[in-house]
Amino acid sequence: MSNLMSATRTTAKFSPRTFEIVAATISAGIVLFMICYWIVQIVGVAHMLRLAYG
Amino acid sequence: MAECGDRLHFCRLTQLTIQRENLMQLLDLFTALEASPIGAFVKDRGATFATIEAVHLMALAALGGTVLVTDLRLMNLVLKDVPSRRIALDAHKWFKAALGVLLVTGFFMVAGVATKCYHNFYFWVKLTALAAGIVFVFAIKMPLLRQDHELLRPATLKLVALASISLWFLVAASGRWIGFS
Repeated sequence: MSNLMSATRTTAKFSPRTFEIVAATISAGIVLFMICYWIVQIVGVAHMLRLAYG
Repeated sequence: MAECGDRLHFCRLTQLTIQRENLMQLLDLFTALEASPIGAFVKDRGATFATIEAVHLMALAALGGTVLVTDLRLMNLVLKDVPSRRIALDAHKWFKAALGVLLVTGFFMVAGVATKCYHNFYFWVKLTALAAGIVFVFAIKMPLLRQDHELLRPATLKLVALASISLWFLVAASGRWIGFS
């Protein structure tokens, strides 16, 4: 019950549907950022390996 | 026109000087932390760092466990017969405990090698990911998961779970990377 009240309090500024959309958008942004970050890291490591071992 | 360019150049130089002074203050803070009794205690006694690191890694395993069990349930991959809301709320208590232990032991670990950490790029990646992870969990994930999951779109739950897993994976991976760079 207290958890439900807490959730209501936290999302009081937004309607539950709006909060869900905000959460989905931020999550999608994080996932996209992570994909880009790991691509850059893997390409960087591959480049260093190519430099080191020809 | 030339005067305007000179003024812009002067403003840019002043801005760079202020930024550099701020960075120097941060480096001073890290140097002072390493030279403090806490830093000396962690660095000078052989087993201290290893013991703190062991506790840190156990807390990391506990935190990883809570994140995995919650997020994999949200993705509908494990524990399908248990309500996802119940798992999320129960695991969150352990998450908070593990996070507390991680922050305390992490502070002591940094104290021993503060100047090394300051110059390590992946230390800052880890801290940024950690801050983002904490904000994400307490401001986005848990307020969302406290709602009735039947009313939420399954795609939203899966997306939140994927973002959470990827953030905490980056925290753990960049933490390990500090030791090898």
